[in-house]
Amino acid sequence: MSALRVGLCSALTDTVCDALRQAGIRTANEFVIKDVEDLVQKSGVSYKDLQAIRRVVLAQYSSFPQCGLEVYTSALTSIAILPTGCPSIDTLLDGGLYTGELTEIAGQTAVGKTQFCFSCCVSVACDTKQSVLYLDTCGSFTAERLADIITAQDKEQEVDEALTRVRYHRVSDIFQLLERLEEIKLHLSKQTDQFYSSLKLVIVDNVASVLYPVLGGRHMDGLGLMSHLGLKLKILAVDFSIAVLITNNVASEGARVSLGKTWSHVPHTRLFLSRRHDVEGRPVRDAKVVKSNKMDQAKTEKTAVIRQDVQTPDPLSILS
Amino acid sequence: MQNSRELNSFPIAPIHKTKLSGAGFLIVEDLKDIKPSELSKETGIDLEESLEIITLVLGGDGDQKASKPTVSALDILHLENASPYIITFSEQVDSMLGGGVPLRKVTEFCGSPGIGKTQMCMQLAVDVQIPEAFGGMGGEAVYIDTEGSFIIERLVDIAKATVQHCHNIASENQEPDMLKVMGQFTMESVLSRIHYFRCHDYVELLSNVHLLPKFLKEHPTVKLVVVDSVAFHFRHDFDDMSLRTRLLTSMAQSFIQLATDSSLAVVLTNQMTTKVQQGESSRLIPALGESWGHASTIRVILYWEGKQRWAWLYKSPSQREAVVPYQITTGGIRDVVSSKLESDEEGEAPAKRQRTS
Repeated sequence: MSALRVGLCSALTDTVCDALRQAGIRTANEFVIKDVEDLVQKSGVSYKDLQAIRRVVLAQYSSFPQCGLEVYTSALTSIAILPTGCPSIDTLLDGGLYTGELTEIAGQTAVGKTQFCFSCCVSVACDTKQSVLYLDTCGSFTAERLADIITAQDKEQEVDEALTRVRYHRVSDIFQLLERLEEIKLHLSKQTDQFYSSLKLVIVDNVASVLYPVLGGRHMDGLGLMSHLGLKLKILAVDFSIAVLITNNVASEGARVSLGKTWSHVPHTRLFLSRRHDVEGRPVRDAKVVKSNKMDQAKTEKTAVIRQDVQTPDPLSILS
Repeated sequence: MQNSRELNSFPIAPIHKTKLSGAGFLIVEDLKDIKPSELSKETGIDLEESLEIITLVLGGDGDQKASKPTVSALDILHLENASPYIITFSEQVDSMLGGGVPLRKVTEFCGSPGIGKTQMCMQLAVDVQIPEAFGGMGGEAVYIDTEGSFIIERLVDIAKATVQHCHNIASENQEPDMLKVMGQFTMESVLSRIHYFRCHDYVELLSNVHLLPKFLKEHPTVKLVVVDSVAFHFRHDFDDMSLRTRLLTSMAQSFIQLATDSSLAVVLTNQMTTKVQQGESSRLIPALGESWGHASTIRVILYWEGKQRWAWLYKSPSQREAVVPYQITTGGIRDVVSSKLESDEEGEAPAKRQRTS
């Protein structure tokens, strides 16, 4: 909510504004939560004027109700399910990455989080021919690997075309990340750039490395920044109907996803990756859905066994 | 276009944020057409800082977009294909890493004492200087030493062997380009192009990392920054573990920034620690904890098996997990050779260094 300014409505004149300010009312927010009769006494502005201002302010800042059927039909037309490039994870996620949702992948070091992001990148850019924006906080983006994955699928001639559909940003702190997200929103509402009008997937790899430096200690607003980031990511996903994919670390011996309880409410779907050795001693990866808002409990318990291999077409291919 | 970005998403001091929101300044739009004096009067923030806030919020908008254009993955691919690698003089290790230690990435070598982490760092600090005529990059190196394990005599050995190796190639091929640069490529020149910093505690290390961008501006040919080791000062005298995590992650961010902005390779070494598991035997894992594991883009674990040294590529965004043997000779890091025929690449006969611990 913004400050009360002269010119917001006809009743809000210079004198009224000053009077309200004298009474300690500066923002629309403060104005709305105050009792009108109380305000009349404190500021000396007439009851009629205050009611008029109140009506305008409420109308300006309220959201409109939507009929459930409308929401449903618009959902049917706007929701897209993007393939992740790994069939077994697709089944685990009920088809793949949903637009309008925030999907998080958590796991230990070298478990394949970034590889999973690359895989999604390639399948969205190459198979569905949509744009991908990659926000990289830990400098691990490697275009060569993307090209390798595409080449391994025998689509060598598509490499250049697919890679132009992927854009990359190096982000070094939380403020830069927030700025980028704001910029993406601006571009999306402008709809002038061809890239942004076909943008379907935004990847942030990895959220923990920009949030760790501001959490705890003297940074009193670290938690505030964290929830702010969560809010912004959700707005991007839900309001602009984009699939947002983020990666996260694990804390304490790999049992818990890091960033705590507050953050655990942010992603719609959470996928947990872990590595182990199979009977033949080869390293394999397990994927497990630990949070989901559209699957029943029985399904979330399911685990997919995947393997990371550079030589096979998929970076994460099915083992069993 | 209305800019409705919230002011609290800007790097403004928390105390000023409270004052701004108290006075009704919540989004960027609220600060448009406001003079610093007005802002100062309304919020109680002093004039100078009001000006700073306004320039930060409004001034940055146009400029930053111009200086930071969007890059497509294709541009990055071209950039990657054009950028050279720093070789390690062990072909097997190089091919495991996809050609050597890459620029614009952070590479971490972990291992127990005496495995050759410092040797690897010295080798890279010398190899980064191999002249372009020999397929090197003729760069300089920054060497940050925290443990005091930088032994200049060893560096002289490695530098001599490398210069000798290049000399052999030059006289074999008789290429005028090579012979010409050989005059300047001597052991002395190699040593003079390694900038050595000694850090006695973590505060010195952190401040050094902060000052590096300025140093790199003055020395634009630096292509390698070595920190040997990153773990040493962070493994003792830390009561507040969350402070340690915070310092380490922000230092990691500085390293990545350094690597990408100045397009150089950052090489870190890390110690090993014992992880005790319930019901299982304990094993060695890299120190500094789980969150540090994400700091480096490429992680190589060096370990002994019997009398053989092995390098294990544990984490890499582009190469597959692999294990290769290597050895340390007087001349530095080398491949393990099964027959003498293959060893003609080296200047001296391979003499395996005894394990010191």
